[in-house]
Amino acid sequence: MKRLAIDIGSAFADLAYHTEGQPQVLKHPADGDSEGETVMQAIAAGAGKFGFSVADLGEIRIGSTGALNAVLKRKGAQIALLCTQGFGDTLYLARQNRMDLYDPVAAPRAPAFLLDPTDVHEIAGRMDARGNEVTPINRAALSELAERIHADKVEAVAVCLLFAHVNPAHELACYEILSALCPDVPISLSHQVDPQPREYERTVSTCLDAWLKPALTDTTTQIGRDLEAQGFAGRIFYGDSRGTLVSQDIAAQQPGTLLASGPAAAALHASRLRAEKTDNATDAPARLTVDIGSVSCDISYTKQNGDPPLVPAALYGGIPMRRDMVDLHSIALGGRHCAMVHPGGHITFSMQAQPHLPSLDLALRVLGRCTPLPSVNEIKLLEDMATGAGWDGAQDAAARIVTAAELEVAGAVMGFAVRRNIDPAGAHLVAMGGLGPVLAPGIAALLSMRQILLPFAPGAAGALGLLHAAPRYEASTNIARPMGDLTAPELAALYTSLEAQIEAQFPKRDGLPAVQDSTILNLAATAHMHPLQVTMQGFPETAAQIMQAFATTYENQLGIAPPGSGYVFSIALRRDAVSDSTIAARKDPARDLAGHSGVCETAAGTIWVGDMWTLHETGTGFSMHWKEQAR
Amino acid sequence: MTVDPRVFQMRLDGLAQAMQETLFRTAVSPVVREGADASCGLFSERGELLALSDAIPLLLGALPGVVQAILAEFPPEDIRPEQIFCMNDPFLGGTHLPDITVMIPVFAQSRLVGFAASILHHQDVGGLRAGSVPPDAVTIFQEGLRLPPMILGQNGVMDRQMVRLIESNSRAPEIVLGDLMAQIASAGAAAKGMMAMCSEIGAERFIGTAATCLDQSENTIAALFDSLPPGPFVGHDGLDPNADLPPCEVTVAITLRDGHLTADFTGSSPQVQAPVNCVRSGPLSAVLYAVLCLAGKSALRNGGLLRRIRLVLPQASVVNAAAPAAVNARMNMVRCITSSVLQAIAQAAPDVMPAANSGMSYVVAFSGTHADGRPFVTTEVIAGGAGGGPDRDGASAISTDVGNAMNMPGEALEEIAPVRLLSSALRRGSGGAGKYRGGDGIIRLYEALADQISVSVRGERFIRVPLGLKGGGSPKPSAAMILRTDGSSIHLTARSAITLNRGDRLQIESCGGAGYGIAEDAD
Repeated sequence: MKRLAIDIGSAFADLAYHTEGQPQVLKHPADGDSEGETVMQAIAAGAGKFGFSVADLGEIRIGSTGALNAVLKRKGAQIALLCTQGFGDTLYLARQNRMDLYDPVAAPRAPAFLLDPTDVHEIAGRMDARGNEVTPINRAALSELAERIHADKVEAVAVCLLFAHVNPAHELACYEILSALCPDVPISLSHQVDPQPREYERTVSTCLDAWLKPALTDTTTQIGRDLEAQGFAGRIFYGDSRGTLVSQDIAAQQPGTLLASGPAAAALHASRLRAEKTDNATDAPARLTVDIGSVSCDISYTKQNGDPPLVPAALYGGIPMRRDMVDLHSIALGGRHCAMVHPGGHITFSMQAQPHLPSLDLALRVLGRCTPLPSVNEIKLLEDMATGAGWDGAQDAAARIVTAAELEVAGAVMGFAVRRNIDPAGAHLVAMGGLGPVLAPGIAALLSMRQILLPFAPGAAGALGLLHAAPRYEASTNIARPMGDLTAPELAALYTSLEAQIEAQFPKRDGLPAVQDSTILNLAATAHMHPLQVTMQGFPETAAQIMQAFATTYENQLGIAPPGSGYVFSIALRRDAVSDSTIAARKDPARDLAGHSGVCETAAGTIWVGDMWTLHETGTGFSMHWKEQAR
Repeated sequence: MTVDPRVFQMRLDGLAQAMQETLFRTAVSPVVREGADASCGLFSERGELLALSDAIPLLLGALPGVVQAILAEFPPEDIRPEQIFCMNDPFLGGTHLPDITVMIPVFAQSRLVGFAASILHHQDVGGLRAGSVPPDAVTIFQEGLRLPPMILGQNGVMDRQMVRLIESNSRAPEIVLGDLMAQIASAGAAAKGMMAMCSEIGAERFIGTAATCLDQSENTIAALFDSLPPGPFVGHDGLDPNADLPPCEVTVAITLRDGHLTADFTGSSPQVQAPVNCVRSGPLSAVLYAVLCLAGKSALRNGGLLRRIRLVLPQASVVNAAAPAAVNARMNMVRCITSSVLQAIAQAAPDVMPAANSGMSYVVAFSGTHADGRPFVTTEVIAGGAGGGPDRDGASAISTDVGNAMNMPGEALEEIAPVRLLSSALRRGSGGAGKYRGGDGIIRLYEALADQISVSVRGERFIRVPLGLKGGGSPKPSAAMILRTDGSSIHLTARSAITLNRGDRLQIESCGGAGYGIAEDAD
């Protein structure tokens, strides 16, 4: 099958094209007016370079940092929130604890940028904790509100009502009335986006979903339509935050699942790299991955050559996420960030483009670590900075900026690693993205890391990771009942229903690889304790099987028996396709770079081999060794 | 093989944090699960603090003292790997009786390398009222079960005798036992992490590097203290005046000399016949918090800092109560102590510190029995506003200084107790005016869904509000009231015990933060 993977970043759309054996890569400027247009332009460029016609492609896989960059740049849709009367401040109150314990000026954790306070609408109607209606919803008021939302030109609506995860009737009533009166406005319902208790966390999930949805819906629709017009009849998949692939429909319906799609795919590619030509799979050191692009740096890890581990909840891009994702940490630092000098010579980075300030990218070009060469005017920016700060010319200023960036990334990697009980000094550093490979030697030196792994095309790691990814289909249902209440016939009926929903997700079955089913259960010891995610192979037939799996997982993860008889929040059936796209190990057909030093251009991206490092090929990319060790 | 002390410290910090996350995930009681009212720490083989979780600073000062108290009773050389220890005695280093510390030793390569300990606010340890924070207690004997340093169990299991002791004393023994097991499990997880580090670098090097980290931290903080003006800098604060209560005033003088910070509380009021007294761990938490703020990221956060802190505490005072004083409602006294200390520190480092925060947190507890006869008890903490400045407005509705408790979600409260949260909102306009405004407090409205629900409200700043800084204004004071179904209303005082019947409503309003600078200078 002819497969094309596209990873859209802020500056480039990266392509990886795979038929048999070796994938080919291409970087294409991401300068379309929309993300959809960028994808189509990139596909056209790929068709020209790799010699395929769109109609011949069997599968297109798309990953994007678009959602994450929207979060980092605070640029999303104007949304309205409908919430239970008395709870209009939920997002701003957050959970009352602060960001940094020892910052004397307390900073809140709430992602308040998602929602303007004037777009919050409290509505009458209330459910109790068991899901019984206490006060009916005011349908007339809802109709009036729908008219106001229409008049306000709101781009999307989030609905998060108390106890909707137990009884969604009021949220469904909101949907019915709003969708009738504002048919063009996407509506996100909290019981569908994040069916778990705790109103703040569910409000965040639902607002994020609504905030991202208009742009993502436009993108997926446009891409689907344009590809069809070019005769494409294959499957379209989107990479998700777990490093798996979801259908176009799921991508449009659940944009929050895509938040970390590009970084998750790159993390997957990192896990597939070899450390040496003959790699020993067992007892391999942990890998810490930095994927540094033009606006963000993503940090991930793997242990024992496994896939990147998933976490059920995380703070990502400043947003508390309650969904499965690759264990990632993202910091706002990339090539486009401008460097600012503070009194005393301390350097910080800002995402705001400021023409009089040099970017990190420029500093690296002045040092000759990437291309193109800087212009005279660009060099002058650094000279001015050096003069102001009392430094020794443009080179000195550039070196200081690069060192400040390396320090910032190294500090973030250190914090990430130790929280996972990994000593960076004993781990391998994997470097990806446009800037990862040129900053890696400096970062590794700061962390006493002695081996760096790089893919053959480090600038297209996300696209290559998408080729490794496998499709995942999932159907979920809320249960919100004690575990012991579930009967065997109920579970059997549940399986039938979930299975049917999954089947409906992939009408085009031709050429799909083998699949395996698993069940993902959100369980807790009691109704009000924090949920724990339990994965079971196949689907459970009895409540006793669920209880057994819960007890085992609880004891393994938390060290004690569950202090309660068990409660089920939700059950999801998951069908994973077994990945069939193996990328063969090879020698880089383009150039033999082993032994090179200084700047080396690869098929996608620049590598910089510092004085103290030596470069070797490994079959999946390169390995850089600290010279002391190499000798 | 060398071990970078910074990396070593960060790994220990990571273990302490992971320990705390395990504790929060496994905790049964709502005040821990939702409010995060617990703290974890790792200690050296001699009982010096090596690493702290990012938790509630109010508890930070307690763990080191408790660990030392346990080691005074059970010397390290006699400790066996399987033993589990506990303690909650305020007068031996604890805080108040609900806060029970659980500690386990960590052995690697056949030697003691350290300890893992947590302190957690338990739901009920007996005493006059459900929740074990009786506003009307006058001696500790009315506050519940007092545990001197004791053996809690072994090999990850509680002793049967201890289980029976707790079952006989607590109104919510299942919750308390569940939370104690969570403490044991989380300590076990941290111990495994420490053992893994020992197997990587060797037990001897682990101990040696830990000692290096402590020394580094001590040297850094000594240099920082020496770089500041010597003082003395004086701070002053106190509880709301109350007809039933003698004055509860805090006075502190901070001096910075010879690489030491001395906090002298001479002049603070004598202890009172009410549960607002605080024990030594309170001022220690306040001073340690202020030092950690001052140090920023420059010093490793461990017991090396404590070596350079000296406390001068008058005996039998509100800041250093002697047995048998009642201490359960000490939180707002610790907040006053912290405000005084921060006032003094702001004089030493005026560019860093904001105007005063609300200086209070409410602790509200609901208890009673469900319709089916099951008892319930739940506690929540309600924050106020942060102080403004020096370069931005103060945050609203946020836990400040030694507090960092999370709020109680409406969905969690109604699941636990027959109490409905009708509204939770910013108390707009309650922050002090200023160039940089003080943050607003919170307003919460509850409705009782059953009869005979006991409510304990402990707040502060009903009368005496924090002062603004550099011309900034004061916030609105706290307030609380009951709205009965017959239309009558009762204004509550800062420490109230009341009963709600079905349909009665309770409204709580917390104090905002103070403003910074003159309002007319605002942009």
